[in-house]
Amino acid sequence: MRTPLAEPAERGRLDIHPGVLRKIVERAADGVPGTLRNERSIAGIDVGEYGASARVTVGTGDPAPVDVRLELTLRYPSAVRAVVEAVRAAVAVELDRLAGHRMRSLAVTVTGLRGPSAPAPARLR
Amino acid sequence: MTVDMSKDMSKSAEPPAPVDPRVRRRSRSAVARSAGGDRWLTVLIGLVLLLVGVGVTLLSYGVFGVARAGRPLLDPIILDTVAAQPLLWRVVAIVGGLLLAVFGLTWVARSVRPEARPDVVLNGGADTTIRVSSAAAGEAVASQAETLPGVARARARLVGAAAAPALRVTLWLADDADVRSVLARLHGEVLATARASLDLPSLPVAVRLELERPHPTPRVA
Amino acid sequence: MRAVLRVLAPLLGLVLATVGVLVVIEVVAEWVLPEHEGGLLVPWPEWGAVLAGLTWSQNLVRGIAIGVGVVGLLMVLVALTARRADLRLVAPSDDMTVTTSPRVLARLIGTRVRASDDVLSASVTASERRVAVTARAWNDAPEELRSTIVDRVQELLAELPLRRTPRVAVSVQEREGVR
Repeated sequence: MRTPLAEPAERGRLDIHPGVLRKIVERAADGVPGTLRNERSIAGIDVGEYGASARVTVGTGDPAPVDVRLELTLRYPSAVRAVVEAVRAAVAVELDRLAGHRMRSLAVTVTGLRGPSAPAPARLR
Repeated sequence: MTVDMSKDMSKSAEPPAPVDPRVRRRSRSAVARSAGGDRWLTVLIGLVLLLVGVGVTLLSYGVFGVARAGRPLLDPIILDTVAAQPLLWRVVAIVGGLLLAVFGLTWVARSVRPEARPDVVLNGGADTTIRVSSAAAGEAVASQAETLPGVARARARLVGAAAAPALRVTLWLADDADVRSVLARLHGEVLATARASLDLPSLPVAVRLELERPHPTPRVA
Repeated sequence: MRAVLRVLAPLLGLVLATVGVLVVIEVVAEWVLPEHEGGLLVPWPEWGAVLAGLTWSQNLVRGIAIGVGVVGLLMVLVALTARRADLRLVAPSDDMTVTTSPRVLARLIGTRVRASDDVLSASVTASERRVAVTARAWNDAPEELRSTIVDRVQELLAELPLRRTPRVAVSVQEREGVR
């Protein structure tokens, strides 16, 4: 006789690698209007872009809470607090939706504030 | 999501709001790195040396008594006092030496340490900390300041304590710049934007004006 | 002067720290190693003998004492005169402090004075209280030129939001020789 199967909810375990969580957080942050992407260049040659960069620490417990550290570049001028609040909301929603994790704390460092890159007005000499 | 930060030009014509005297003081001390600590300690040591020098000179010329002037520098009285209680004087010497060493090293460390570049810490609510890096804030202000007419170059940095940061802005002006207008626009546009964006109602500022090196122009006699 | 102070202060701290450390080392060495002859790092018994041989009234002692007093006085003077010579300007708001250097004011004035065709050359010294212009003219009458220059400089000073308006002193020298 076959042993009865357990309930589907208790049948297995899903462990999501922190690297995946990091990508989820970064993508969520990049999706918030007001965050910008940085250009990476080596020796003056454009090598690509990068957006928010995250570090994720998974705590103990079930479901395991997640502490997130984010580095962002924001548009300037913009209300930093408001944008960070939007980022917080987006990241929390995505973490829960895609990975079932609760975000416990968020530490944001704004490493860039980029203004409109308009050319300087011509000056008569 | 961007919040419209452009201000009406007419706003800069309003009379300035009364400012907390502490903020005014912080803007004055943001002008340059304070030399106060170094200054007063050097004055103290200088005074001590001066008093010792004057005192010994007077003693030497017999102002405190001719007999005293004839005594040797390492007076036998001193030797006797120390020999009477060697343990006490050893301990005094060791403790004194340690205090002097600690004090001297602390002073050197404090004096040689480069000026702080505090980050701006914002309140993000429960479980969220927001920190705007010193470099980001400074570059944002400087970039916007460089767009002002009359300003050839601008640099900005945060100074002061992390809990009470201040801004130090250096502007290199073109020769024909209208100084009053540049300052008014700096206050009304650039600094107002920075304060609104970073949610800092009071951000004391020290502005330093320099002239940009002129490009060599042909001289017509 | 500020530069001197910035170097002098940590040096003094270093000297104090060295003295403190040496005192501690020598006293501990003397205590713990009684059989060791003389000082460990510093020959203090010999120094003690020399000091015991000198009296206060000797010329050597007088000379050193005067020297020490002079050094102390110099240190006090350096420390007290190490101030920035900033010109203060009026700021549009109380939470802003605007400063510039006398050099900048002198350059602005010099540019304005030299812009006039009548002026061959000009040298300017400026401070918070006084501006002195020495100009060389071509062959025009010096007196009218002088008052013109004074007017120009005062015009410039009015355009700048200075806290104190410096007094203006202009002297014009005629250029000798053929134009």
